[in-house]
Amino acid sequence: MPELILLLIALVSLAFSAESAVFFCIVAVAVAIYRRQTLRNDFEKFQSNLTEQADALRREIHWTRDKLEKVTAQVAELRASAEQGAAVSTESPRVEPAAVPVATPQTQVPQAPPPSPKPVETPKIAPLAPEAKPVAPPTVAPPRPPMEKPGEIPVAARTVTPPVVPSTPPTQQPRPATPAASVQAPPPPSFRSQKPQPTFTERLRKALDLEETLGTNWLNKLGVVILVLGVALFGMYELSELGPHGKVLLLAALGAAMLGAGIYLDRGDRYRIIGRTAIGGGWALLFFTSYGAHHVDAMHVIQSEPTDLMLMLGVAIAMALHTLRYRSQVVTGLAFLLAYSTITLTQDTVYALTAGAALAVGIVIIAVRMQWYELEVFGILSSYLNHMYWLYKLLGMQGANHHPFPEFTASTAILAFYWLVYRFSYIVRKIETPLQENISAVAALLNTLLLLVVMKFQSVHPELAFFALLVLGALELGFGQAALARRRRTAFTLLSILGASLMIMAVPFRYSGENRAILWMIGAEAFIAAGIILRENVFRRIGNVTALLVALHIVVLEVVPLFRQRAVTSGPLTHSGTLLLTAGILFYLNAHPLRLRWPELYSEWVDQQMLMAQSYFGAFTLALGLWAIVSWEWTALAWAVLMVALAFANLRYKTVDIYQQALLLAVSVTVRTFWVNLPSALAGTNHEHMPRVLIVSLISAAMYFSAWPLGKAQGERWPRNLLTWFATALLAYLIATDVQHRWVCVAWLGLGVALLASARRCRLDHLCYQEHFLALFATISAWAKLDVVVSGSLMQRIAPSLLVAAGLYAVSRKASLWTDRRGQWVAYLHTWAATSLVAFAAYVEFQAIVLPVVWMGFALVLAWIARRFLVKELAAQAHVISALAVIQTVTVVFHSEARVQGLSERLLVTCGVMAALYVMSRLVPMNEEQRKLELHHVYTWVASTLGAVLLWYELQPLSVAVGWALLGLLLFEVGTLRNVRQLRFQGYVALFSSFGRIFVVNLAAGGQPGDWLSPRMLTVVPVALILFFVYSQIAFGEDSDSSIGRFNVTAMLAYAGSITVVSILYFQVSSPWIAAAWAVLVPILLGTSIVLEKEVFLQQAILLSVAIFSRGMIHNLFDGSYFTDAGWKGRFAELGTAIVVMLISLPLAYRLKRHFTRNEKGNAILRFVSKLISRPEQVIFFVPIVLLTFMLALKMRAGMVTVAWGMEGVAVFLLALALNERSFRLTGLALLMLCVGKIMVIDAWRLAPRDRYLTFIVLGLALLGVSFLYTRYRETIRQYL
Amino acid sequence: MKRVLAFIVVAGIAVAALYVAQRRPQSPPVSSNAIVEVAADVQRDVSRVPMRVTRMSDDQEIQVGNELAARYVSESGTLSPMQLALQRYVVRVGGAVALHAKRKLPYQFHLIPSHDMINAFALPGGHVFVGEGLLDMMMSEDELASVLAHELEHIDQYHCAERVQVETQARQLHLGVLGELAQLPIALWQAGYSKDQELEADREGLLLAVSASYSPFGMVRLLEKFSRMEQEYVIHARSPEQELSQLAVQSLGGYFRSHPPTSERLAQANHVIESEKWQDRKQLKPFRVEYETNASAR
Repeated sequence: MPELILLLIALVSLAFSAESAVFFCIVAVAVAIYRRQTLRNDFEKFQSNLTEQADALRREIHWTRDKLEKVTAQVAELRASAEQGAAVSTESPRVEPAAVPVATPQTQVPQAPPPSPKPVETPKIAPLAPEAKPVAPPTVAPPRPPMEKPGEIPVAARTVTPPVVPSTPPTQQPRPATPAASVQAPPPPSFRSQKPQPTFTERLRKALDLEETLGTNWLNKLGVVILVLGVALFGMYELSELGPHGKVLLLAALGAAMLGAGIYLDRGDRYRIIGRTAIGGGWALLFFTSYGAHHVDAMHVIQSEPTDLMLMLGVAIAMALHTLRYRSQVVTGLAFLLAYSTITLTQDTVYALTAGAALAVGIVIIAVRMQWYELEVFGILSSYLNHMYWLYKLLGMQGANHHPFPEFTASTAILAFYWLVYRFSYIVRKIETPLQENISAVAALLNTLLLLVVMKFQSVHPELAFFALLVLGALELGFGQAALARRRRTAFTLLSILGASLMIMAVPFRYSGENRAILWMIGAEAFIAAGIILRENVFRRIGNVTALLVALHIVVLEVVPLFRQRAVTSGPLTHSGTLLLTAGILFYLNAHPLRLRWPELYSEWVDQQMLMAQSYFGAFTLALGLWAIVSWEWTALAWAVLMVALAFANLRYKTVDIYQQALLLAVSVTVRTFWVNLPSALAGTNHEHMPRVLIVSLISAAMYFSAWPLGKAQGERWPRNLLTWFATALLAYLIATDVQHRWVCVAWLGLGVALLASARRCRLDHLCYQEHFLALFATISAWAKLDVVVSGSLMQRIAPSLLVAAGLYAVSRKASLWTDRRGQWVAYLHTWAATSLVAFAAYVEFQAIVLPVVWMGFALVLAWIARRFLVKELAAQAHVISALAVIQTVTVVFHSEARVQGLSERLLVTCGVMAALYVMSRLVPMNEEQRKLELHHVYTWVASTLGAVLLWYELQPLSVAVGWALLGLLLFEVGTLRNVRQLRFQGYVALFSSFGRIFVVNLAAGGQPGDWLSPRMLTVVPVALILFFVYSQIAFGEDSDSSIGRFNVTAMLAYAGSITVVSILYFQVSSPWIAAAWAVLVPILLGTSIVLEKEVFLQQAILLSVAIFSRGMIHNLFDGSYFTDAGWKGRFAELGTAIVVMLISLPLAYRLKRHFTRNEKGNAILRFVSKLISRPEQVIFFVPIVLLTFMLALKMRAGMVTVAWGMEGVAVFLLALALNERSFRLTGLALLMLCVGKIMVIDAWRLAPRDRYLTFIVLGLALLGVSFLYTRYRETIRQYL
Repeated sequence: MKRVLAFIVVAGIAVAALYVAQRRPQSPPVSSNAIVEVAADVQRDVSRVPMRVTRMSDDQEIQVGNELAARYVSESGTLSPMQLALQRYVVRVGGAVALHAKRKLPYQFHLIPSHDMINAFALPGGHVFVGEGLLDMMMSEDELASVLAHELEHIDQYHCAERVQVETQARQLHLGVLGELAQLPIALWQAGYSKDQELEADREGLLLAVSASYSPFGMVRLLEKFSRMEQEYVIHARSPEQELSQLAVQSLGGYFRSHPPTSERLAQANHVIESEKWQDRKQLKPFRVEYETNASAR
C-alpha cells in the first residue's frame, strides 16, 4: 500500500514539479523493494513455522494411530472373551454391546495421551451390536474398574475410542463376522526429512492463493489510490461552483470519512487490510488537502505559506502519532514521508528546513524507542536528499562552486545537526539482531556519506576541507571509542574505519601535488604500530588496508608517470626509485618481520591475506624501484640480486610468498634478459659486447646460485629446476647471439657437456634434461648449417657438424644418471642424432647419384662398430641408413640415364648398393632369435629386388623376363651352393615373376607367321627351360625346398614350366590346331611322369586332356563358321589329330594306372581328382572318344553319321576286349545302341534311301559282329565284370 | 657334373636368347593383350553355343539395328556435297558386295563425315558405317570393297547379333522394348571383336569381295598400310613406370580390342589367296568418286 500511495503522490506532484515526482518514484521503488524483502523474510519464517507444525502434527498422528491399533486389538480380545463368557454363563448378552459404542470425551479421561489439536477420527469401526442406539456423551456411564466384571471392556479401551461417528443405522450391518475385519489399519507414517515436491493440488492451491492475494490485498489498494486520485482531480477541476473553501472542505471530509471508515474496519480481522488501506488513503487525502489549501489555485484558502506548512506538518505529525498505534513501521514511515514531502514542496526559505530537523529528531526518537532502524535509514535519506534538493533549487546544478551564499552557515549547521542526531542515534541504540546491526551500519555509513556529498555540493571554502575531514574523522574515531564503551564492537569498527578513512582522505586536500604516498604510509605505519601496542586488530587492519591502498596508489598513479619518465630518459630515476624502494621495504617489514615477531596478532585469515598482498606489493615496488634506479641491461642484474636475496630470505621466513616472488622475479629476469640484454647486439645499439656477456653470465650464475636455496626451502624440485632451465636458456641464447654462426652448435654441445658433468657430480637429473635439449638444438643447428652453408672448404662446411656428431657419440653413454631403460634411450637418441648428422652431411656433400653408395658405406661402418663394440642402436641406425640408401636408389638412381666410361651409372651404383646390402646381411649384428627368424635376409631380399628392378630398367621389355629368370637361376644356384634358403626363395620369386611377365610382354610379341624363331619363342622358351631346370634341381636335389609354408614350390615350378609351354603353343599355333598341339604334350607329360616318377606331370596331362576336350568341343566343333565347312582339314584333320594323338597316348596312361598312391582324404573334389589320377587311362580314353563321337555327329554328312558311330562302336568294343576294360566295352555298346536308336527315330524316316540302306547294313553288321564277339568272349568278359 | 653341365647349357641358352633379344631393333609393346586375348576367346567360345540356341530372328535384329543406327546417324550431322558423293560411292560399292552375302538383309551403308575416324564398323540388321578418315587412306575401290566386305561378314556371321545378345543379357535388357536399347553404346560395335571373329570376318570378307569381282589384293594393300601405321604409332615403353601405366591403360579398354596382330591378318589373307589361287588377280580398280555438279548453285 505505501508504495502505491507514494506513486499516487508522485502522480499528483507531477503536475507541479517533475523533480519531486521523480523523487517520490524513487522512494516508492525503494519502499517496494524493502517491502518485498520484508515480506520474503516473513514468508520464510512462516514457512519454517508451518513445517515445524506439520512435523509435530505428523508425529502426533503417528502416535495416535499406534495407540488406536493397540486399543482395537484389546477391544477384539475383550469381545472374544465376552462371547466365550456369554456362551458359558446364563446371563443375557444384551447388556454387553451397550457399552461398546460409548465415547468418552478427552477432557474426562486423565490417562489420555497429550491432547491433539483436533479430535482424531476412528477409521471405520463398525458397531458391534446392531440394535445399539447412539449414546450421547452426557449419558455415558462413568468408567468402572477393569476387573469389575468379566467380559467388560476396560477403561483404557473406552477412553481412546472417539465417538466422532456417533452411530450407524442398525439395519445396515446386523452383526459383523469378526470384529477385526471392520478395522482398517492405517498406512505407516512417513518421516522423510526431505521437502516433498509440490503436488498438482498444491500448485493449484498456490495459484488460488495468488488470486486471493490479488483480490483481497491489491485490488482494494488500487481502488483506493484511484479513488483518491479521482476525488482530488474532481475536486480541483470539476466542482468549480463549490469554490476553494468548499473543495477543501469536501476533500477534508472525504479524507476524514475514509480515515474513519478505515479505523472502523481495522477493528475486525476480516476487513483489517481494507481498513488500513482506507486509513492510508484518508491520511493521504487529508495531507493533500492541507497542501492544496495553499499551493493549488482552485483550493487556495490559506494565504500564508508558513501557516500552510504548519498545517501540513500538523497533519503529518498527527498521522505519525496515529500510525504509531498500529505499530506499523511502514505506516509511520509513510506519515514521515508525507511530512518530508511537505517540506520539499514548500522549502522556500532555509527556515523551512528546520522542520526537517525536527522530523529528524522525531524519527530518531521513534526509531530508537521502537527499534525501527529501517525508518531511520529512510529518515537519513529523506533529510539529506531534502536538503540537497533545497540546495539544488538555490544554487543550481553546479552547486555553490566555491561561491559564498547567505544561507551557507545555516545550511551547514542544519547538516551538522542532522549528522550529530543520526550519529547519536547510532551510538545509543540497542541492537538485538544481526539484521538490526546491519541496517544500523548502513544508516551510519549513509549519514557520513550523504553529509560529505551535500557538503561538497555547497562547498564554499575548499581550503577548509582538509580540516573538516580531519575533524570529522577524529569525531568518528571518538564516537567509535564511545561505541566500544557500549560494547558495540561493530559500531566501533565501522566508525574507526570511517574515521581513519576520512583522515586519509583529508591528506590530498592539504598536500595536493606532493608525495602523498609517504604520508599515507606513515599513517598506515602509525595505525599498525598502534594496533600492535594496543593489541587492537582494527587499527592494525586499518594500517594494513591503508598500506594496501598506498600500494594501489603507487600502481595506479605512480607507475605510469614512471614509465613516461623512463621513456624520455635512460638515466636513474632516483626520486621515484627511492620512493618505491622505501615503500617496498616498508611493505616487506609489515609483511614478514612483524608477523614473525608477533605471530599471534596475525593469526586470522584476513590479516594474513593483507600481509600476503603487502608482501607481493613489496616485491613489486622493490623491483620497480630497482628498475627506476638501475637502468637498461643492469636492471636484470639488479633483479637477479634481489632474487638471490629473496631466495635466501626465504630460508629464514619460510613463506610461500617470498618463494613465489623469487620465482616470479626469476621469470621476470629471464624475460627481461631475453627482451633487453640479449637482443641488443642484434639491434645494433651501442651497448658493449662484453658487458652483455658479463651481465648475462652473472644473471645465469645468480639463477644457478638461487636454485639451491629455493629448492631447499620448500622441498620441491621444480623451482630449482625452473631456475636452472632459465639459466641454461639464457646461456644458450647468449651463445646463439655471441658465438660465430657456424660454431654455435659446437658451443651448445659444449655447454651441454658442461651441464652433464655438473649433473653427474651433483646428481641433478634436470641438468641432464637440459643437456638433452642442448644436444637437440645443437643437432638441429648443425642440420640447418649443413643445409645453408655452401661456401668455404670442406672442413669449414661440415667440421662443426662432424664435431657435434663426434661429441654426441662421445657423451651418449654418459648422458644420463640412470642405468636402466631410460638411460639407454637417452644414449640411443644421442647416437641417433649423431648418425643423422653424419648422414645428412653426406647428403649435402655428395652427388645424389653416388649418395646411396656412401650411405651404404656408412651403414657398413656402423654395423661393424655395432658388432665389434656391441652397440645395439648403431645396428638399428645401420638399418635406417641402409633403407635411406635403398630409397635413394629407387627414387633417384634408377631414373638416371647418365653413363660413365660407357657404363650406366645406374648399373654401377645399384650394383654397389646391392653388394653392400649382401655384405650387410652378414655383418649386421642380430641376436639369436632374430637370426633364427632370418631377419638379416631382409637385406638380401632388398638387394635381389634391386637387382630385379635394375634388370627391368636396363633391359628391353622383351628381355626382362629372361633376365629375371637368369637372376632367379643365379640366386637359386648360389643359395644351393651356400645352403642359404632365403636366396633360393628369392630365386623362386624371380622365376615366378619372370613367368608372370611373359603373359604381359613376351607371349604377345609375335613375329611373322611361320617364324618359329620369333621374339616370343626366343624369350619364352629359355624361361621354360630355366623353370624346368630349377624344378629338376629341387625335385632330385638334396635340399628340402619342396614346400615353403603352404606353397609346394616344386609343383608350382613344374606347373609354371608346363603352362609356359602350353601358352607358347596357344599363341604360336593357329587357332584350330591348338588342341592338336596341346594333345602332343599329353604323351610327353605322361612319359615324363613315367620316367621321372613324378605325379605332377600326370596331373598336368589330365588337366591338359580336360583343356583339350573343352577346346575341341567349344572351339573346333561348335565355333566354326555358320556357312562354310572349312574343308576336310577344318572338319576332321585339326581335331582328329588331337584325338589320334591322345589315343596313341593310351598305353602310357595304362602304365600309370594306379601308379601313384591314391589320396582318400580331403573333400569330394580332391577325392575325385585323386581318383582321376589313379585311373588316367579313363581320362585319356574318354576325352578323345567323346570328341570323336561329337566330331562324327557334327562334321560327317548326315547320312553317314550312324555308320560312323557304328564303326566307332565296334572299334571301341574291340579295343575294350583287347584291354579287358569294362568301361570301354560299355562305351562301345552304348555307341551301338545309340546307333540303333538313331536309326529307329531318325534315319528310318529322314535319310535318303541309299543312305538309309547303307546305314542299316553297316550297322547291322556291326551289331552282329559285336554280338558275336561278345558271345565268344562271354566268359572272359564275366571275369572282368 | 651333369648338374653343372645342365646349368651351363640352360644358362647359356638363356644368355644367348637375352643377347639376341637385346639386339633386336625394337621391342614389342607391353600390353595385357595376351591375357585379354585368351579371356576374350574363351568368353566367345563359351557363349557361342547358347547363342546359336537362343538366336534372335532376323526381323528382330533389323529392328534393333535400325534403332541403334538412327541414334548414331542423328549424331553425325549433315553432309557436304563432297561427302554426299563419297557416301554414294560407298553405297554403290557396298551394294555390289552385299549382293553376295549369305544372309539377305536390308544392308545400308553410311559415311561418317570425320577425317579423324579411321575405322569402320557394322551394326546388327545390316547397317555398315565407314569413317572418312579410313577412306582417305584408300587408293583403290578394291580396298573399300574389302573393308565393306569385312564389316558385312560381321553381320553375316552373326557377330553383331551375338554382341547384342551378350550385352542385353549382361545388362538385363529386353530386346522387345526398343527404348531399352538406348543403353547400349555404339562404342561396343566400334571396338571390334575377338581375334577369331576378326580373322573369320577377314577370311570370309575376302571371299565375298572376290565374289563381287574385286581383287583380293585390295585387302592385302590395306592391311599393309595398317601394319605401317602400327609401327609408327605404337608406343614403346622405355621404363618400368611407363610399362605399368601403359599396361594399366590397355587393360582397362583392351577387352574388346583384341584384334589379332595385323601381321597375322596379312598372313591369313595371303594364305587364302594362295590356297584359292588368286595370285593373278592383282589388278585393282581406282578409287573414283563421281561428284555431281549443281548448276543452280552456280
